[in-house]
Amino acid sequence: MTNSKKPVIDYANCMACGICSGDCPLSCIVLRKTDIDSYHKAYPVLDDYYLCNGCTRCAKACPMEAIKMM
Amino acid sequence: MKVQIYPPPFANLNALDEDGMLILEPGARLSSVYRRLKIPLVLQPLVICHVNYQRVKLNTQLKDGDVISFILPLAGG
Amino acid sequence: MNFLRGYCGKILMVNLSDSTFEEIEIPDTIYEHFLSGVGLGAYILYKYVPKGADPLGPDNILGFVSGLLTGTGSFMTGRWMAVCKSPLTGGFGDANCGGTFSPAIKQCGYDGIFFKGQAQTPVMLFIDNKGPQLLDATALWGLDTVATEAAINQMITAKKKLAIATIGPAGEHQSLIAGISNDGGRMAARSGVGTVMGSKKLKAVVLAGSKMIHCENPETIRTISRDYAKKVKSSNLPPMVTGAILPLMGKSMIATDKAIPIDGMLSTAIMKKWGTGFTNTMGMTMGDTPVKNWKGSVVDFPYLKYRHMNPDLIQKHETQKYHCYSCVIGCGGLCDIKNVTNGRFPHTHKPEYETVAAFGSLLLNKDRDSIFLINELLNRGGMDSISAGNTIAFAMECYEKGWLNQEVTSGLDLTWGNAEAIMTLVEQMIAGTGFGAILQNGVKKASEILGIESAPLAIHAGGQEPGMHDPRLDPILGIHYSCDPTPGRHTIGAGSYYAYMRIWEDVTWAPKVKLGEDKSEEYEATNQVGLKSMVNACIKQILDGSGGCFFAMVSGLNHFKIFDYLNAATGWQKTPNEYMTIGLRMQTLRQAFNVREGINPRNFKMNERLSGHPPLKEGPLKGKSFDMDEMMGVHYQFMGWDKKTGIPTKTALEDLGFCDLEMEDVTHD
Repeated sequence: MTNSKKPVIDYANCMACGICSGDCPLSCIVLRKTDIDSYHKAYPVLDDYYLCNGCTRCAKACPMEAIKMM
Repeated sequence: MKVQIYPPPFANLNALDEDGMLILEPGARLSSVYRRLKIPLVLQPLVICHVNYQRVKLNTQLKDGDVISFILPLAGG
Repeated sequence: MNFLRGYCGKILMVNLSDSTFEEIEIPDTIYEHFLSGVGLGAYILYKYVPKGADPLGPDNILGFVSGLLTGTGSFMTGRWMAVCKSPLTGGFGDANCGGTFSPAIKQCGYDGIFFKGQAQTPVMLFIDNKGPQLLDATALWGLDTVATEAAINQMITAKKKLAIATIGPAGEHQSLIAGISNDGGRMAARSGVGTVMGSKKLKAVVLAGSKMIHCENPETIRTISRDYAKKVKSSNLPPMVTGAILPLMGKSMIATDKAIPIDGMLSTAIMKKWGTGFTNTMGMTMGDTPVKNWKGSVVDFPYLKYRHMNPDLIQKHETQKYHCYSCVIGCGGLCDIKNVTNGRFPHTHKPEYETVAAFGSLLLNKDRDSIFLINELLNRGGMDSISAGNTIAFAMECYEKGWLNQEVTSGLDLTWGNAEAIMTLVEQMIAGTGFGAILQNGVKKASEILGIESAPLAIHAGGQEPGMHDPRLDPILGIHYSCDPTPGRHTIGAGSYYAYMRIWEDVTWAPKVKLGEDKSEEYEATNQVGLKSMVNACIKQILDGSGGCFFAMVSGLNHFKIFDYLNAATGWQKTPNEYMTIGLRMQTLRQAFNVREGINPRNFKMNERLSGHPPLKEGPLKGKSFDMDEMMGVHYQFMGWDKKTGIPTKTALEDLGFCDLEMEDVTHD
C-alpha cells in the first residue's frame, strides 16, 4: 500500500553523508543540493516526488534523524 | 583543575605533563592557556583553537577535563 | 545463523568458465575470527585459490568485499576492497576504494562477490533483487571506465541507481598496474586487481539490489555516529586560512624532534577544505613528498615550482564536494576541467595528493594543468597513478643517465619536468603502445627489461611502487612498505599515524606517545618501534575488515570509536585487546598466503634509497637513514613471526587459530 508521506530533509542536521541516497530502494533521493554550506557539499534532495512510495527507509537509516516523513 | 592540551608545535611545552595535561587555577580562562604555552602574538592569528571541539572566545572559562586542541594537519593519501 | 549482526552471512561465488553461481554460507565463527572485508577476502582466497595458481589464470579468484560496518548506520564505513592473488607481487593482493559500491554489495545480500574461472568473451555481472546474471559485455570492451558506466546505464534499467565497478583499457590488455574504477574514477588501484579482472574477461560488476542491512544495536550505533558528526561539523578552518600557510605548517611540523600530542579531529577541518591536497605543498617543506625519483628534495623543486600545486589553485576548479557513502568529512571533489583540457574532458575527480606528487615533484613537473589531464586519463584508463608515476620517474632517471634515448622512447624527450612527454607517455601506457608498452607493467618489470644496472633506480617493494610518503621522514612507514604482505602501501602505518590514532586509550598494551618523546628514536629498531608497527598493522586490518576509512582512523580512535561500533553492530562484547588479536590473525593469514606461495618475505624489502642509502645531501631529510633489515626484524618479532625470515611461527599459528584453514603449508619452526 502506498504511503502518501514523503521525506522532508532538515538541512541544519543533515551531514550530507549519502546514506539516505545509497539506501533508497528506488534512488529517488539524489545528492545534488550544493548551496547549503560554504564547502558546496552535495546535500540530498527528493528528486522524484511521485516515484517515492513512502517506504521510510531513508528516515530510518539517517543517523542524524534529519529526515522526517510528512 | 586539569585540562587536556593538544598544543601547536612551537608552543612552550614545559607547562604540560607527559600526558599533555595542564594544571590551571579553577575558573581559568582560555587566554591563560595561550599565556602558559607562550604562543607568540604574531603567530596567534594562524592558530586555530577549539575547546571541546567548539570555537570559543579567548575569555571563555574552562572547567576540569576540558579538551583544548590547536589545529595540526597530518599527511594524507 | 543470526542475520542481525551487520554481516550478511554469505558470499556469491561466480564461475566465469561455466557461468554458474553458488551462494556460500559463511558461519558466524568466520566473522568472529576474520571480520568481513579484507579478512573475509583473505579467508576465501586462502581456502579456494590453489597454491601456485597463475594470477592471470582461471584458478585465481577476484573478490569484491564490503565491510562489516558498511550500511549499519555507522559513519565513515563506506569502503570496499578488491582482493586477489596479485600478478604484480605474486602474493596476496588487495586494493581499497570508496565511492558508492560498498553498500551496494551488501544490498545484494552478500558480504562479498567472488569470481573464479575465465569467461570466453567479455561479460559483466548484474545483480538486482531477482538475483545475479552474467550479461554480454562485448560491446563495452575497449571503452574507458567513464564511457563504460554511461553505456551500462543505457543498456540496463533498474529500480535502483546502478553501482558499477569497471576496468578500462589498461585492465583489458592486462597492464600489471591496472585498477578497478567506481563512480567515474574512484579507484581500487593497487596490486594489479584490474589486471586480474581483465584476465577473466570481466568488464564490469553492476549492482542494483536493495536488501536491508541489519545490525544488533542500531540505536547505539546512531549515538556513536552523532557524537562523531558533531565534532566534525564544528571543525572548520576560518576563511582567512589559505593554502599559502601550508609550507610554513610543514616547516613547523619538523621544527622539533620532540613528540607533541596531536588531536586528529581538527585535521578533519583541513580535509573538509582541501582534501588530501593540503599535503601538495606542506609535504614539500616537511620532506614527506618525494622528489625526482626519490633522489631529490625541495632544493630541486623549490617554492617557485611547487607553488603551482597550491591546493587553493586546485580548489578553483572544484564545483562541488564528493564523498564516499556514509562519510561526514567529504574530502573528494568534482572539478571542472573543460578549459585546462581544451574541452577534451568536462570534469574529473579532484586529483588526490598521491597523483599530484607522483606526477608533480616526483617528475619535477610543475604544470598543474597537465596533472588534471593525467588524472582523468588514468581514471578512465583504469591505471594506478602511484605506480604509473613511479615508473615514469624511473624512466626519466634512466634517460638522464643516458641509458635511454629517443629511439627507445618512441621519440619522447624524457627530460625531467617535460609535461608534454609525460602526458603522451601516460596515454601510451594505458594503451600499451610505444614506449608505454615497456612501462605499462610497472617499475620492476621495466627495470628487468632495461637491464640489471637499472635495478637500483627502480623504486619498489616486492614489485609494488610506494605511495608518496617518505620513510626517511617516518621510518615506521618504511617498515610497512617492506613488511606488509601487500608491500609498498602508505596507508598501513607510520609513526605519525600511530600518534594521531591514540589507540593506547583503548588497547591496554599499546605504548602511549608521551609529550616530549624523542621522535629520532623511531630511526632505531627498538622494541617500541616494533610494538608500534605491530599495532599499526593490526588496527589497519580491523579497519579494512569493517569498511572503515583511513581518515577516520587518523582523526583519532578516541573519536572514531570503531571497537564500540563493531560491538554494537554484531552484539559481540569484545574488548579492544580482543579485536587486536583478530587484527593480528587477519594480518598473519595474509602473510601465510604469501609464504604458502613460496615468497620469501625478506625479498619484499623496499629499495634502499628510501632508507637513506645513500643519504640525501640536501633538503629537510639531509643525512637521514636507518637500517631497514633491523627494522623489518623487530616488526616480524612483534608480529609473532620469525625475526630472520618473517614467516609466521608455529606457536603464532596455533595460538591464533584459523578455523578450517589448512596452515601446514606455511613453513614454520
